[in-house]
Amino acid sequence: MNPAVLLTVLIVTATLSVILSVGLFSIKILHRNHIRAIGVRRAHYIGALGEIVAHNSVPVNEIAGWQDDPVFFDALVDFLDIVAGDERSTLDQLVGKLDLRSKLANTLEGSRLPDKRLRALSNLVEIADASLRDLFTVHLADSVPEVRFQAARGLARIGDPESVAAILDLMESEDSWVAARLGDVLVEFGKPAVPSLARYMLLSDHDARRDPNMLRLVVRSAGLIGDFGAEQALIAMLDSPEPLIRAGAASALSEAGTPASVPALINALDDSEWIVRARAADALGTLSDDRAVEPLGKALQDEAWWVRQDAAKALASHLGGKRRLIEAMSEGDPFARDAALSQLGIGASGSAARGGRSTETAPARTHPSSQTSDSALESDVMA
Amino acid sequence: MILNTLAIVLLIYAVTVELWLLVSALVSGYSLRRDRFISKYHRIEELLSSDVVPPVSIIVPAYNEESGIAQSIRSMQMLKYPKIEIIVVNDGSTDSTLDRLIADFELVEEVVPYRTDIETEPIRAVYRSRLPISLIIVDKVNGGKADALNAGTNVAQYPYVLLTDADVIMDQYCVLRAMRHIVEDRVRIVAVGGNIRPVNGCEVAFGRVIEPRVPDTKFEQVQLLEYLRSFVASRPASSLVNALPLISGALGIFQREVLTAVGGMTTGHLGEDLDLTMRIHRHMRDIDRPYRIAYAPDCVAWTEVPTTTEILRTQRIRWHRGLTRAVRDFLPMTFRPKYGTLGMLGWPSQVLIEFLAPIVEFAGWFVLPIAFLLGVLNVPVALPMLGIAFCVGVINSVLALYLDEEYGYFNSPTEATRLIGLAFLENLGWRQRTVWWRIRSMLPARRRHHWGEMKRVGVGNLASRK
Repeated sequence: MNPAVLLTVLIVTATLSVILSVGLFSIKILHRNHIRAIGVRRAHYIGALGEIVAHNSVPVNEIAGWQDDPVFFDALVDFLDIVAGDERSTLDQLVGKLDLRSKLANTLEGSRLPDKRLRALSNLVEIADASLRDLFTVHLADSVPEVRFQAARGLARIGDPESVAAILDLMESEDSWVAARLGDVLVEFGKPAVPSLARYMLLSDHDARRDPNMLRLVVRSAGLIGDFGAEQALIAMLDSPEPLIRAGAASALSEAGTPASVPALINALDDSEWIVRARAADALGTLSDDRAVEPLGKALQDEAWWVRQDAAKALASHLGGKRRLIEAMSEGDPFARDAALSQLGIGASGSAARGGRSTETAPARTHPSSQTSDSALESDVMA
Repeated sequence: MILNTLAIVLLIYAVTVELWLLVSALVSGYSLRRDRFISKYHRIEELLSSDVVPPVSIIVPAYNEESGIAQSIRSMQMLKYPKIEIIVVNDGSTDSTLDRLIADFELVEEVVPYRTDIETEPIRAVYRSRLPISLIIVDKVNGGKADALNAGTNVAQYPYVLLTDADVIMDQYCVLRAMRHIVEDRVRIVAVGGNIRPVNGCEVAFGRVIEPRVPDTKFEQVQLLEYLRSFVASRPASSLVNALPLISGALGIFQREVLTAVGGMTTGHLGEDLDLTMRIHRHMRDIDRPYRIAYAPDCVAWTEVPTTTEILRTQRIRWHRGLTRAVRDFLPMTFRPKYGTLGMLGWPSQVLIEFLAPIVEFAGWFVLPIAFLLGVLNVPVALPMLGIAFCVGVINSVLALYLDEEYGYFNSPTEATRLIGLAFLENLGWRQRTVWWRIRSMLPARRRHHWGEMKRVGVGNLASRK
């Protein structure tokens, strides 16, 4: 080892440590001043926007130059989130007078920096109107996933049902994170999206090339929209070969189902997968139909813990079901008794509970989660 | 001659360790930058109204926590997350923890079926709150922190469990930010660790950190620097290559199925968090299932760090004993390609740096002066090497402060100056003291430690000292 070389390295590292320390100190000062400046501007814009909303008029002379300040957009977006009616109209006028849509669209088209484009698009979504439809549609094919996602949000804000098919296509090519959030975007469309979703489900059922995860997301979105238009497609999904899709469909029927779904859900109580049985029990509880009482009573003795619990909860939500739960308390099966006790809200000090707690008296049963290696299955269902 | 060679070898080790940490800090910088871009535009609040995020059971062990437990629960209730349940496990407290909980949260005893996947001390009763909050209290026979967490896992309803401590204050979006990783890759990610920071000196109100600040005393400031070096300048790099050997016990989210499969936490282990993370790695590699253990730097939780030498000494000795046991248990995983990046990078760095460094440094205290006094030390080589190790160490600390700047904490230049000064000064005394404690931890224990008995000043008192 050459001492001269070592000495040089020492001098370099020592200098570097001093430079970094001084640099950090300088950055802290700059950062502090920057934060202060932003705070002052933001306070100014929030105060001014408050005045505009309160007086219901836009002072044209005072707003000049606001459109060039990103801090203004943040303040405006915060305001847009909390106003409605006339106040919202006043802010829309402001947006028009400042020509914010064109300004942001130019930034979006003119910049190559993902950060800048994303910011422009996110702000455009907040002030979206039908004039931006083409712009959003073009950016569904952007190279940055987040930009594509924001474009889809923009289309949902406009509420253009023709875009649903394009978003479904986009979902197929996205990674799971973006696809899952696009599923939420579909929910934002609401009822107008339902025919496209139902068509997608029914066609996918016969198309082995479709990604099951994608189909699962569509099923979930249909359930969250909760419109009866998707009911038949969801009932068809109960026959899917994928347990996750069957479970999702059962869940979705609790929101989008009518009494017409009850027979299919009762059949699902005999599914080979515990997750599907549990979701079907839960959905039957929501639909609260007399025909489900006996099948749910049988499910109290299911081998899987979740199914027993969901069956007991479902029965507790129905008058006839409560009677069935009371009967279950005197049954020999300690699991059914526990589930019944728990749902009827009888505490441990109650006389019926003195028979002993299942976990202490009965041999431990394997938790259903061990029956499947796919942990995503359980988390999806619980979600 | 032998003494000189030994001294030079020790110095080469010191420089190599610091350079390794420097590389780790640089890679962490890359990882944080990427993560920052994602979290900036993901509009995490949108997830609040989405059911993409799976529900989470928060498990809080409590042993004689009568003074702070109610505040902890209220703080957790304020977390922004679509669906959580809070499970407090009263681990046979001898004070009035349970009575306090029953009174404050209108608890009623209920028959609640729970699993027995993980063996624990018997559960005496399960209580549920009558208030409109999802709160379950499990009252069990004393079995230690790990046993309490295991009992909570058995009772948990949801597929993901968050294991934490009663005194940890979580940022409002903390759980949501951690779960973002799971939403991104629900099949592979089995656990996510959070970013832990010292709460000492911060302004705390309504169970939240209102104003993050640098602690008042040098004693606590040095600990802050250590936390930053670990959580900001090291873990992001390990996580990037799926070689994170440790998820802090203060905040970790686990897939319940995996947690159960590895048998939960090991009772009586002084480094139960390290042990658990390593067992999960080993389990997943053994069953050959693709997996990832992620780290969420923006999932910030605050915890109290020791304020006196005595408590700090006890804590460090406990940590190092835990590490020593883990090194013994998992040594066969070292440099085994079967265990992937963890076996080749993450775990060896724990063994060769965290475990071995104090031994090497301790040896250096004797070898270098003796070699110098005997006149056999090659001073023109040894002195610059010592200086290089020192300077690279300082660079590492300053880099950690740079990386922390991304998160906007400690904006005051005065506070930054204090920490920069400490980056230089901590090598004069502080470092040697902790090395000595770690050496002592390897000697036979004189007494048993239960529940990590760290005497806490209390968050309110820490803030009011300002």
